[in-house]
Amino acid sequence: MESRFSEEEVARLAALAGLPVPDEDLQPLAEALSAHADFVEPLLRAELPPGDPMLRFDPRWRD
Amino acid sequence: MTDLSALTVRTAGDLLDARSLSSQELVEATLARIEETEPLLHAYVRVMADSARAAARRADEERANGVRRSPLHGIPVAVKDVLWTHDAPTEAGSRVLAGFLAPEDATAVRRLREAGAVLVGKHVTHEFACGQDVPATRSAWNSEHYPGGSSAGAGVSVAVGSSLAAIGTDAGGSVRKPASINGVAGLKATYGRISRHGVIPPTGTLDHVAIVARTVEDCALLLHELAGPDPADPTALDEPVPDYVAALEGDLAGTRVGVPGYFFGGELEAEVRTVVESALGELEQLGAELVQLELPSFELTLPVGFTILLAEGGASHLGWLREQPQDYGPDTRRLLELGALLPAGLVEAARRARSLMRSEVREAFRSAGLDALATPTLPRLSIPIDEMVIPVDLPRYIAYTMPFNLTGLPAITVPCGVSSAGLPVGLQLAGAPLAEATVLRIAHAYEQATSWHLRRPTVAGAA
Repeated sequence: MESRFSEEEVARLAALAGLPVPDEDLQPLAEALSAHADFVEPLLRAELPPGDPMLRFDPRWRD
Repeated sequence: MTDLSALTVRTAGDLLDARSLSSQELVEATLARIEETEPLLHAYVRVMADSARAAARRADEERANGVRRSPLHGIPVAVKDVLWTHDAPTEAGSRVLAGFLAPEDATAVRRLREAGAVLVGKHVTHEFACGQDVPATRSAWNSEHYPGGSSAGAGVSVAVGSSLAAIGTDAGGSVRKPASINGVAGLKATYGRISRHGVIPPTGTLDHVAIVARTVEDCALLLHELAGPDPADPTALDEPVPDYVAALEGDLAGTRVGVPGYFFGGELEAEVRTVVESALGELEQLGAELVQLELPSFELTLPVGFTILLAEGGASHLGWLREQPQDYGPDTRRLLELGALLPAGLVEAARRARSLMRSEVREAFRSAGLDALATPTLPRLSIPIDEMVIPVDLPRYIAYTMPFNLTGLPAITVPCGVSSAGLPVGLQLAGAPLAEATVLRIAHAYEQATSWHLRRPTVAGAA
């Protein structure tokens, strides 16, 4: 399957993140990013109600 | 030589209290058991024999002077090698931390020691508890099989008696999975119930310090010593710690147990389904009322869970990834790099979906008046390591455990039967936040009405 991301795009993303990704990781990362994008399709299609994302995690149910 | 195969923390403690056994004898027997079983099972990265013997001597001297710190006094335990120990390196299965000696014990380790427990060693972990490798550890029931992970050493060691109890970490199922596969109990409490100070790597919103033991009562004994606020961990909940052991007693009459359809879908292997449905029948026989329900948002468990796990893992490893990427295993490094590069919008969507999961399960408990949920712990049995396709199989194993990391709810696995090949199957019980006492009571009642927790594996070449 053709990757959604190219090695060049991954290298640019990594540079933005300040992450020195070794050359041998670029292709596997491009494939992994593509695979993850496919994997999370159900999440991106889901109808999520409006509201804040969970940024702090307190498990207690408080009204 | 003491036969460890029948001892639990409770029964060993009773023998110690009665002076029928000394901690030194118990620890020597444990060290001997380690020596017998390690060549085949590889549960330990480090055995701390000298310090364990010294601690056992101190425990016996204290007991002789009338000091008994807790039911764990003199009991041999082990910890996953992602928890700091001041007197032994903590390497998290990675060359990144080769030789790292922590400045102090992790809070959980310190509390075990203050309770009088004797630390006999550090257990094997996947690299940084997330590695895509499968370490040398093998299942206690079939040495060719995947033992579960990342707290692989804990599950195997407790099953064969090379520690009487253990603590590990669980960010998606990493204690409950090996506990289920190895036929022992594994408890992940409410998020924040047990301090995570001194756990490597700096962990996010999914990770928990968790307990592996032979019985539910033993889990309760350890939880009682481990739970509580910790100024060193701002996520540790400042909530009272009930007497979890006293709360074990009580039948299940009137107990309402939800059975969500998500956990009984197409992913569930037929043999596991059969065993778990029988266990649910046993719960009904004990007086519980089963309530069928749906949690539609749980279908998003894996994309939500992996997105958050990867994003938080990648963020927490940025420093090491920048400074010493060559010291990671390549697959682990790529996994963490992936996490560090995930689009922010995707992570935000995952966090919103997580909020939905949390509110949905809360509403289910409230509208149906539930005391707990009952599910299979794992959708499948353990398989031969040679047959595993790691990127595909490892995620499959956490489909049923990860929801309780995402929602922070307490969840315990107990053995509930075996497959036709004799492989253990686990029943998972989950409760409302901070309802460990309820979850433990239900699990204890089930356990005491059955005998699955009494099965012990035979280790080839060992006594």
